[in-house]
Amino acid sequence: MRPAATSDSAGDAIPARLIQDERRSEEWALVCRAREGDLAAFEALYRQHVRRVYALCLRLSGNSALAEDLTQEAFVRAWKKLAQFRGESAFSTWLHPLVVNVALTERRSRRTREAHTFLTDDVAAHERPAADADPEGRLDIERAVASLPAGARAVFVLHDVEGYRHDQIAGMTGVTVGTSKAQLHRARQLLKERLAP
Amino acid sequence: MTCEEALARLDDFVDGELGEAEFQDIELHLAACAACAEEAVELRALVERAGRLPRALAPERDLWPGIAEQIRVSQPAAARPMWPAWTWRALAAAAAIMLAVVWWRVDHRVPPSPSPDSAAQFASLEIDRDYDRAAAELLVAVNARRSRLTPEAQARVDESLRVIAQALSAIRSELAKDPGSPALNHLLISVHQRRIEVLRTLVGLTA
Repeated sequence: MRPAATSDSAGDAIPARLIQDERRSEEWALVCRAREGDLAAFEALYRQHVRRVYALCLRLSGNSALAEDLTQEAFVRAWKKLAQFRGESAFSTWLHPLVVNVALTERRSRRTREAHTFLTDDVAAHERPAADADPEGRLDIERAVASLPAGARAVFVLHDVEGYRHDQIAGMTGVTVGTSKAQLHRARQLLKERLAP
Repeated sequence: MTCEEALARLDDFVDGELGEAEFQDIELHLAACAACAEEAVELRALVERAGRLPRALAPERDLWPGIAEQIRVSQPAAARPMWPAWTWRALAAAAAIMLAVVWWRVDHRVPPSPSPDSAAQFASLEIDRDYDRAAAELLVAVNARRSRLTPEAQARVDESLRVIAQALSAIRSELAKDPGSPALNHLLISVHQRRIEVLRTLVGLTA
């Protein structure tokens, strides 16, 4: 006889969930070690996330040299704020808005310091593949996105490339949902014109 | 609906952010207006193209040395107690194994003892209560430190303790039918001991 209070699923379900959560657990273990000052653990987090962070910085800034600086600054800031990450979400969910904040703050401070013009070829030139290795015209759209006005570019990158909703973008960039929608409309219209054959 | 009205809503239409009625209004307009339909096709193509862009790009140089240098000259990250991922995994696995052992032993238990020893039954009940009291005290200490665990770890701890409680409940239920069974009494004590060990480990790790 099997006790009625128990079920077959109890023993099987736990290992299944463990496998599902394993990556998050490993990431959380790295975060905990980094919080205690373990730089090697933080480097492991950096290696896992740097490509996404750099891509975001590159598209938000439109400048590869600036994107490198922003990526470094974002990770240094993440290190300083690690205690605020409580593990309720994936590390990337916590990290990416921080990256956006770093990138947009830099943009605003630069705008006040100098009349800045972004080097709009940097994103497109990033990987420099041969023309026949880019059948979908990825470089064309990268170049066109990099040439957008900064506000429209930020909203386009966050909405259409990164997949954030307008309310999330509003929260990250400090604009209203209406402004976010207007900037997206402007970005799309400009891109359609610039990508037209 | 005019073309101007349709075009003003085209972004929301393509992004799926319109209500059902407005969505259908636009669809009706697009079915009747070739120019607006063409706009919609172009817009959708652009959005799909943007969505296919790689979301990860490698920087041309390793940026870590610069980050490590900046970190070294800055304040260390705030120290917080570590909760190794393996700990709750081991805890959950131990609880599952414990339950499996209980099932197996209860399934294969010996026939009821012919003459239960009332003194032994009384002693067994006392031990059961003592262990429960000790576990309750340790649980208070664990709960006081819950905030140091991730939500996932908290859920796993709760799940594991629930499984152990199920095991104890199953044994007690069987003991009610066969109070004199030495095997069941031994099993009850061993599960109690494991629960105390688990709780002591949790208290130590979250201290």
